[in-house]
Amino acid sequence: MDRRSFLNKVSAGSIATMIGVDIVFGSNMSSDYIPVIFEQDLYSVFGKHKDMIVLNDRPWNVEAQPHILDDRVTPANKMFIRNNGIIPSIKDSSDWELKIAGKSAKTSRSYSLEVLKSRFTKYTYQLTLECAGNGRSEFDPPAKGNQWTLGAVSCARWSGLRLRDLMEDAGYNADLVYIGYTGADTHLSGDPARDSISRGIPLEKAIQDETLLAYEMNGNDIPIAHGFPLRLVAGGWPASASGKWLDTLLLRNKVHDGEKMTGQSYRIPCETVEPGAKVADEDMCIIESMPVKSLITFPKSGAVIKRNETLPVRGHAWAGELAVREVQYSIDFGATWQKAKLESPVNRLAWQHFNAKIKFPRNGYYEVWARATDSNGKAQPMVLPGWNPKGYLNNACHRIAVKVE
Amino acid sequence: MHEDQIRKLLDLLRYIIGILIVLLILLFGSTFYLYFNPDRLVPVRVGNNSDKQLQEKAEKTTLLNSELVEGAGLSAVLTNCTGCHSAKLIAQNRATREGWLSMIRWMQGTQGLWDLGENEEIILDYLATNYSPQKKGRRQNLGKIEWYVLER
Repeated sequence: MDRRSFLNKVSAGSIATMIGVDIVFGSNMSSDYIPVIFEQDLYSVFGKHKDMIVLNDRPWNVEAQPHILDDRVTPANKMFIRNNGIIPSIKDSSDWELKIAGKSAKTSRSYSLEVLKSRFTKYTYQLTLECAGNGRSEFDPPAKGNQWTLGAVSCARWSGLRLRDLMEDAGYNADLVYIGYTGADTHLSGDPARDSISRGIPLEKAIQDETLLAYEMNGNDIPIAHGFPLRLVAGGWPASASGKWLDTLLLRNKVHDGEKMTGQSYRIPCETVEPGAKVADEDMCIIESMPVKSLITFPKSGAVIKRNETLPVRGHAWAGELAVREVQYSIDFGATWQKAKLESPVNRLAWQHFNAKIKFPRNGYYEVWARATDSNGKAQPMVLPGWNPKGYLNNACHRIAVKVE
Repeated sequence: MHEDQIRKLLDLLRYIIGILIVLLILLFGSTFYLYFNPDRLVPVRVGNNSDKQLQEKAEKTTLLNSELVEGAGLSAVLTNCTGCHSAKLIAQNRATREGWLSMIRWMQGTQGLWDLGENEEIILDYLATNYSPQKKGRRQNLGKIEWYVLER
């Protein structure tokens, strides 16, 4: 290998793009000085909890672990990051504008952030956002991409205006079928002409009460890693539909065909396939509502308790567009199931909390499995659900290890 | 015969003098060079490492950051792959040689990856050797359990 070209590759500039922030005077950095700020800095740059796990630092892909998702409302420091491009540098949102464009828009126009905040009614909902690839790491044969385990899910409180209200104010034609977005993030290649991701939602989802153009998360400005200053939030759908750093809404008269809407991205085979199968693009269908799922957030896996103790267990369950009807748990690998206590959601599309107090019959190794059932009667599978080429929608039961001594 | 022997001796003498002159020039030259480049006398010096040391240092740092395993072809992977995405993306994935090739083709078709030329084989060898798929079945055992006493 050519030594010079290698050295050029690890220049200050490439380190800067690796860590996603600018190194001031990076070009003056001597070539034998390499800053030791990589991973540690995620936690200070984005203020993330120490137990967040970095899967990828360019682009940033960071997940939580079940035991830190115990909060009823996910705080910013425990929210997963799934980025497709480079986070834009936005320090001041006072001149932020949202463009409305597309063939189905009555007129092309822009709204300033100020107008969006002042002229439209503000709504607040707690909304579950889960990455479509959450759980990908378990698929066999493996699927390419970030190998999410369990932590690419959150349920924060989002505030903003209804997308529907804005659409009505801007005016749209009767042929509108899809709303696409673009954001201010940069493609990994640095090419300004390319979108890193430009997905969206169909009209039916866009006009729901809970579909927001959010400018606040948990009562504060949205953190930069999560879409400051404006984000589309479509709860219960793959989180990629909820575009960050929102600068344009495209009112389309056909299904949006932006970056990662087409091909194999965020799609599963329209008909189930054998593991490892190759599926042609035209046989792949867009993922809409996420499937029913649950997570045990307390205790952390690995708890050792005494024989006479009861184990308090709690967690959250969600079901995409639907509600969760029931959560059960098993301590004998699914041979028998008991009902957990399940709360109603604070609003539609918010996760629901469950809890149980478990007694164990004798000493030994146990796994506590949780299984949620949605309002249509569909439950989580104990083994992996249908294999798909990109490894989406793994909603297999979560389990934790417990030892009774 | 006698004259011939003298001629041979003279030839040998000329040869030896020639070598001596060359050696003298080299000696003067290098003294002169070292006078103006004294750092060449010090084999390891902070702030002015040799290219090899620099490379090793850079590789180590990148390795530390990427968690990519060492092996033949690693340099080619770092040079061609981590310009656009983190090495972590490689480290967390597993695929057959065919699977890795299809990822490369996908990146070339949609993400602006260049023709890898001779490096393609080297990179594929590295990836297929070090990042091949593991059989997982429909559900694995819970791995890496850290046992702790649950405080009441």
